[in-house]
Amino acid sequence: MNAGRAGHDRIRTSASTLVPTVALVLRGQRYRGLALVLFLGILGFYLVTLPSTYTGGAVGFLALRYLTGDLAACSAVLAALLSLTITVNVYGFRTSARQRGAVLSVGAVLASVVPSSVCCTSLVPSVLAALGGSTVQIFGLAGRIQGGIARFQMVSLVTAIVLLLLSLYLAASTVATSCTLTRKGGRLDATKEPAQV
Amino acid sequence: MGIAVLGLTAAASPRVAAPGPIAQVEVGGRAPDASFVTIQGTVHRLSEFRGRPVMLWLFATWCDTCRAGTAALAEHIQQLDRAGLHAIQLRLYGNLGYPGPSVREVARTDAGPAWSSSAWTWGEASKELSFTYDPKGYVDIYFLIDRNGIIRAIGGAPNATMDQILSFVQHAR
Repeated sequence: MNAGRAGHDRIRTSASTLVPTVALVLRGQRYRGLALVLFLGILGFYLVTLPSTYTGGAVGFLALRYLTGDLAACSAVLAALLSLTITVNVYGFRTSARQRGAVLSVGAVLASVVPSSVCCTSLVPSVLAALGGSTVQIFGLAGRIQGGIARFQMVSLVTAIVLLLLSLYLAASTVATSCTLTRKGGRLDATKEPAQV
Repeated sequence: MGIAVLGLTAAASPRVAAPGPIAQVEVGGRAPDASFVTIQGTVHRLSEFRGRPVMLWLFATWCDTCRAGTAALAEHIQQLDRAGLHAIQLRLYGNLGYPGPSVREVARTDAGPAWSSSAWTWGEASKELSFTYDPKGYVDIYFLIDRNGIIRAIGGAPNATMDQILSFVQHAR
């Protein structure tokens, strides 16, 4: 019976379609290029931004000096996930698929950069002062806020990675349901593909 | 009638002196005198250091930028010492409300052998000093004070602003 089949199987949307869907998207040369450009740009952004927690918020080549292995790994993972999410969403946009996961992506980016931007800078005290806080109040509150952020920076980064994974899954599942993915001779095909760029 | 009641109430209340304004700390102004306690337990006042350029640095021990700045200062402390600068690094009152390692622990860990330099004093800022010099509660702030007690520069993150510090000691000779 299997031999009688033309080799077309209907692939139902599930978590297991994430990798095949991303692979399908990246089959297009332009989408591969887009993903690569996004990855390099976002990676560069994170590499000079995440270590700014050690430079009082100053980003740039100075911050690179304080790049640890953990921060470099997080930068690479965040850049890969975000670039793939954007690329899959662009693909989905061209198939007129409903966009999903945008809020998660934005939340992930915020969760990844807020700690390095807020901790050990003048931002929190300035905001508290602008809200009318007295010196006593600021002294008691600013440290708790910034100290907590500093202490849980890695948790924030891991949270950002999880959010981006969810966002990528949502984007991929949207693409998978908007196209009928079939397997033809060991290769995935979409029966409704967008016009090539 | 309500205004009249308020007026009578105010007139009947004992007069309370308004709290004095916190001394203005600004570039070009005189550095206010205040006390601090060193990690050896001795009490000192900033006025004791008049006559040589001083870097008064207020920080919190849980602050990553501060600890990176400590390491950077350690790399330059000999150079700064030769130029006559004395660094006074004080933990802010209450560590700015968040627990962290002790000043001694930060000194030994982040400054290494340089922590015991004669040009480097470690300690705890008094409440008066903290509120006077850092009323906005910045977690990392330093003041470059010349021989005459005049504040010449205010900055933060010494590892990112070391050029400013080196320039100060050059002109302070």
